[in-house]
Amino acid sequence: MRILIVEDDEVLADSLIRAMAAAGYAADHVADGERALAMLLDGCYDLAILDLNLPRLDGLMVLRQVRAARKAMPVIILTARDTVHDRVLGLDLGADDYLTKPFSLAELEARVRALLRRGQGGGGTTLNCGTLEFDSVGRRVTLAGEPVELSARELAVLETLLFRQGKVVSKEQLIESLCAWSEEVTPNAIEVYMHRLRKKLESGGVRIRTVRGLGYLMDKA
Amino acid sequence: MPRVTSGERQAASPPLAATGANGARTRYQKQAHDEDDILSLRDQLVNWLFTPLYLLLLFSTVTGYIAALKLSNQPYDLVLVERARLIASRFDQPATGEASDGAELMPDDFGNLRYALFDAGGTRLLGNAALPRPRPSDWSASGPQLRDSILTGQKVRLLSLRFHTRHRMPGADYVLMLAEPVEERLLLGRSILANIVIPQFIFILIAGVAVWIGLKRGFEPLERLRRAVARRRVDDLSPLDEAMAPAEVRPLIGEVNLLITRIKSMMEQQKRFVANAAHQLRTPFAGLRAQAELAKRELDVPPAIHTALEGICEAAGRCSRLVTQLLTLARNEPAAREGIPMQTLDLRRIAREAAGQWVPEAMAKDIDLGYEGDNQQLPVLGDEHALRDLIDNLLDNAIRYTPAGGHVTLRTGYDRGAWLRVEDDGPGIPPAERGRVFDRFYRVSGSGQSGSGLGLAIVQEVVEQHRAGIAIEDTASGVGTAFVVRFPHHAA
Repeated sequence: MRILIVEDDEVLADSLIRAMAAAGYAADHVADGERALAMLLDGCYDLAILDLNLPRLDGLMVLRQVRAARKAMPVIILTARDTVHDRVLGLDLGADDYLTKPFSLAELEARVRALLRRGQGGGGTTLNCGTLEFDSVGRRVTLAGEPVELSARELAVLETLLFRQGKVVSKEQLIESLCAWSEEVTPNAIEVYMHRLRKKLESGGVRIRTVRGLGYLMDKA
Repeated sequence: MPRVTSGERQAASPPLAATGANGARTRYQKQAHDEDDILSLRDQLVNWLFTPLYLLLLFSTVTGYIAALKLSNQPYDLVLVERARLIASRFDQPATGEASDGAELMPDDFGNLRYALFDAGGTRLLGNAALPRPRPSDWSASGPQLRDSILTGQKVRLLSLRFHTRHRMPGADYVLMLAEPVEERLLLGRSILANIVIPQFIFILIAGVAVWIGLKRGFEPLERLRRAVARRRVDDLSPLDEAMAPAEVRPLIGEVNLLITRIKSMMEQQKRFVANAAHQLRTPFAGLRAQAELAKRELDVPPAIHTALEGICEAAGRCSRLVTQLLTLARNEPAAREGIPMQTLDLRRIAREAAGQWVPEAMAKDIDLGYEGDNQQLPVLGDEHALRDLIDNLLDNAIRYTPAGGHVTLRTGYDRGAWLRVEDDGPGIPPAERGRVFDRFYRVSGSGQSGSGLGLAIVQEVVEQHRAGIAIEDTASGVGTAFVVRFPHHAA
């Protein structure tokens, strides 16, 4: 996996290079926009971490031209600009993620991992949480390697929770995930599915928490 | 300075610490002192109009008094002369033999008149011994002489008349002295004076009232201007309306407006500077934090250095937060918000989205964060990002100050307008400090927390943008704190 780090602050760039290297990626570094553009167009990078305030060529211009050249590698924008307008502009121009400085290294690493996994194609079909594995293509669930029997609706609910694990999923969102079934789903039905899912998964280091008034959240126990 | 004005907020807050209160007092005293030094325009006008008016009144009273005395003397003097001539003619009747004692010379109706008759040798022939001898000038005068004098302690009008006798002693010269008390003349004089002065006094009184009313009306535009300025928010730097001012004051308003414009541009410059500075700090802080995190991961770091690195991470994290909060605050200040349109938004949706995003943070601290509210839309007129800043900071605050195992609840509802309530069961804010928590960089004493001190200042800015109100209330259970934001009614 080759990653290009485009950042003109020496100290920050150094820490990024070392962090990426420690995570097992081959990391290259450039400090100005023009060279960054040249390297992204020539080289075959799997991912770019892109600062926006760059000498010679602004990061957004680099991104625009990279996308115009039909280069599809994931790009994480890393910037001190934090207005919503900047964020929307960056994502519209084709950025895959957007981190505002200062950020935690762990968060950057997690997002890099997620983007690379998605970029690998097929890698994203397996969702994990604790000892739970969900094969979203084969619609199969294993807990510590043991298969778990789930109904189609329970699977749909579990998939939605797993996609957003560590985040709150509202009942409305869960109802929406079940809307492929013709009959109406009530909030009470969601509670029933939750109850069953918890029972079937409680042994596997997975937890589904109820968040008062907001919905549910799935994470590792 | 702050807006709900900081004045009102301070007034609502309980007595401040001694130093603060003293500071405020000296400021007001100084103001009062300045006002003493410079008379108001109205006072000056009153002084300049009324001082000459009262001097005129005084002058006209004195001249009137003199004129009244003179006027009241004239008729009495004429009568006195007539009487003198009458006495003289009686004395000159053909001799009846005996020298008379003079009593028959005085008719009964002459009342309190006293007289004396002197011959050319200066010998008192007849009459009252109290009357003085004639002066030499009385012997040479051709007509009656009148003067004021005092006889036996009484003010009198004294008349001397030289005359010749034709019958009694043909060709002899005599002088008749007559003395009349002046009381009656004074009474007449005073009554004349009163008839002059009282109408004058009333006239001046009426003039005074007219002038006072005129001044008051004339100064009304200035008073309106003063009220308009007094009503302003501290950070309202829009120009004053020149049309409100009378023509004489307009150039002054123009200059004040120029000054306001300069102050405004200076303040904007300063705010831009703060925002830029905060912005520029972000990258170095990111570098610092990332380097410290990397160093901490090394396996063979000695414990002391590990602790130091933890400290650096923590400090870098706090700096980052402070910088972010400074930028959020700058973004929500009125100057930065000009031209950002307000839209109809669903407060319930925004509140739930915000709360959802804080759940992981709350869980990490073992705090039960929840939401309670109806299933109905809550229309408010506002700006979504600002409202997110508001809710984020209230929740951040509540989660930060609530100990592990505690509860934080976000509620929304409607009561003459949408409201939003963030309640925690943390240590609470002492009532004495509630008025100050919205001040920038103020932190509740003894909280031991690493807040930026800007969160509630941001909340305050957003509350004001939305013409909402914020209050700190007690919770139903009596434990912890409840921040309540009430928005004005908005029909979707």
